Amino acid sequence: QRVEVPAEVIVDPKFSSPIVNMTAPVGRDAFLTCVVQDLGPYKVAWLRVDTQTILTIQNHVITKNQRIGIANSEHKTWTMRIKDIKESDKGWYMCQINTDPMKSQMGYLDVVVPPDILDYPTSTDMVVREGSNVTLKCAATGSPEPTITWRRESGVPIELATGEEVMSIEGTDLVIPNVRRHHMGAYLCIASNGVPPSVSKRITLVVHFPPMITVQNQLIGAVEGKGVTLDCESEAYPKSINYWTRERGEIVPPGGKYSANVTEIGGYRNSMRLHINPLTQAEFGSYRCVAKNSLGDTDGTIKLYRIPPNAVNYVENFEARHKGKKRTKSSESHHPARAQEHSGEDMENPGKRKADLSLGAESIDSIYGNSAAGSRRRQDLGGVLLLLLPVAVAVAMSLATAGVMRETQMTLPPQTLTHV
Amino acid sequence: MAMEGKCFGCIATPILVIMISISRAWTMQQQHLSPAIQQHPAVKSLSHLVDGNDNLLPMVSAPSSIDNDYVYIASVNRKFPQFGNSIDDEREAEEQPPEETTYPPPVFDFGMPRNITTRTGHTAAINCRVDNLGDKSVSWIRKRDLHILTAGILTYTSDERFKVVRTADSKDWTLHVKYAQPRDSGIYECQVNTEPKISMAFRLNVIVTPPDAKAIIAGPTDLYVKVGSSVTLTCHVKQPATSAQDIGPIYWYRGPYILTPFVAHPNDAAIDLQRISMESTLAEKLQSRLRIANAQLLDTGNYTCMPTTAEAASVVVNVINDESPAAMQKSRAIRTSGSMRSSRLVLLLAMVASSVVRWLIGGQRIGSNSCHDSCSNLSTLHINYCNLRAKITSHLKEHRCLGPGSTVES
Repeated sequence: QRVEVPAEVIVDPKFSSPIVNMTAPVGRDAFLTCVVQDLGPYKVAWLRVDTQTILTIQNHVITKNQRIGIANSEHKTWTMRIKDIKESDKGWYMCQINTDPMKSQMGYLDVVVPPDILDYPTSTDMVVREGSNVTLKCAATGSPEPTITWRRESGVPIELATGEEVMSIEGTDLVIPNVRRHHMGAYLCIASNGVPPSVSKRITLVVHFPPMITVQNQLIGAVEGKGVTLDCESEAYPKSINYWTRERGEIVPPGGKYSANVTEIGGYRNSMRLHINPLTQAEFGSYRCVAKNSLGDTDGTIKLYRIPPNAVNYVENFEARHKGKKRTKSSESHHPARAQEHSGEDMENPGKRKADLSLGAESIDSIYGNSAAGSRRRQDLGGVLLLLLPVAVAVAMSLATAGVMRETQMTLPPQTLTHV
Repeated sequence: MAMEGKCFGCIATPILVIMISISRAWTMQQQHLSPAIQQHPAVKSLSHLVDGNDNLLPMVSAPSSIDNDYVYIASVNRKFPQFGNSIDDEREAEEQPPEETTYPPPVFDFGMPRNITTRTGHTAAINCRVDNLGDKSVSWIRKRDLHILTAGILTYTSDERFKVVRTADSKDWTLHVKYAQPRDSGIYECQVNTEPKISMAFRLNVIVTPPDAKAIIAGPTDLYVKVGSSVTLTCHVKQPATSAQDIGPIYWYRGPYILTPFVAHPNDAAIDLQRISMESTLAEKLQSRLRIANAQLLDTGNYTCMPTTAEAASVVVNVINDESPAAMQKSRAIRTSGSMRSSRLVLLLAMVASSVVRWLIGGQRIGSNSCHDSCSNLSTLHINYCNLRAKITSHLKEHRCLGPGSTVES
């Protein structure tokens, strides 16, 4: 019953151009286009090659995947659309024409994913002791696999283990052996894979060390009645407590002729200043600047000596008189040598932590036991019923039989007597 | 003492009789259950039979509606057919519009044969059965090249040898490959458009058989039997030894319909499957026997034995009417049920009556002995009691309530 059609009317369809592979980020819409020439009465279908799933046939979407759509332009351009693509949509897709034999071509959909830094095992802010080794880690996901780059904030260079300084370094691990105080600061882990946006994470490195004091002028001369300023510099982290003492250890009282202040120079550097005005005989002597923090304490010594007031009036003869005094008083030349700096001892206070891990025992619910008991009870009831039934029937039968037997006994005795 | 003995005898015997009756009934029930269990494996083996297909016999014309439908769908005359709309229209006709209900997930029937063998030039039938299809659709694809064959009830491929046949309940989706060729061998996948998809793969083997392989039905090609008699058709398959490896099942057809007791064909309500039985021997001797009990006028037809790997053979069975078929059928049914019930009642009453009569006779003898008041009669009483027990035992044996080696213990 097949109707014959002239061969000239129907032309064998063919693909005008290959399917253009597509790359799209996750969440976008993807389009694969199949261009057909002379389709005629034949039909076009799209399939997923990896899972061998039929997606569309002509204008009809076969799959129940709501994200699949099909559109065609004059039966020539058949565009399959996938909305809100996922990483699992990556793969080969086949466009098929139902000629005999069947014609088909395939296109690849590449799904790319922007980078994302993982919270684990990426490092968080770190606090380390000076001299120890530090490794900063950074891990990220994405498709293609992202590249990890380390930088320091504000354009500070990164010091390598070899001592060389670079602005950035690649790799998931940033190793800093023998950490010094100048390594302290913020580090940026930057993950990028060519798919915007790149992401970064800020990791702060804190270096702890005990205080250190630097004294630029250890011997200061001043004229009685005038004012004078003593100066020390200290470095410490965590931040230190700074104060002044006299040679016998008493703390210099604030107020009055004494005024002391501490100024922060850099991240961990401070400047200590003690201003004394006016000077009297009692103020001359030794002074100590002291710095303390949780890791230790240290101090520096400054010697304050008296200059005769008449030396100030004769500026022209100041040098000559000073030299003359030195020559005439040889005993005083030994006094400055006594003023020496005492280096503070490093005191370490290690923190002791005890982690107590207590595991509470969980009680097991005996559901099985309960259900078993229930089933047993039911079985017992059934058993009892089964046993009672035949017993009841037996009792009824025995009663009926006993009645019959009594009648028999009453009729027999006379015959027995006759026989005897 | 004597009276106590009498009372014990009165109570003990009825209890024994009742206990024995109960145990007997229990045994009969168990025997009744075991045949059903034994038949279960037979059910499994027979369920491997494939559902029937149309247009199988060249001498018989297939229903024209199916052919017309097929040709219309696959017509190359139509320009730019509205394929999508067609599916929508069919679905509206099939079921009510979906009311946003949640359908249970579709499930494949894994009992379908997954390895199908057919001969060159014949029609191969691959049956895929899906339960709970709901709003989903079934498609067939060829795994070799991912060629789509059918989607729903519509054929996508231009190869007109492929088509799908669906049952009225939308459970069986049978792919038919007409004029199968060896190149059609391979894996075919039945696919349901769930997300993600579910699918089941079937293997089709198309074999080339030698021309002298054929089936022979013993007896004449025209058979005449009376209404109510039984018919037995025996089919032998002659086949060279070289092709014995590809032996497949042997099917029976009456006209275009396959005869199978376990797959109900919706168009085949006329077949009374309860009166038809089949058994096949696929060992060294290839043979299949079809039995029709209580032949009726509607059993008249052309019966075909269809081996998988050999030429088919047919005979014509003519059933001749001598009596009214309706009356005969009804009367037989009534007789069967009545006789079963009455036989059971008679058996029960006989057992009860026998036991009562025997007991009365035994009771009289005990009564006569009780008149002697002397102590020397105690031994006599004991002897009579033993005799009574022996009589009860023989009575029970007569009614087959006990096994040959069992005795009644006091």
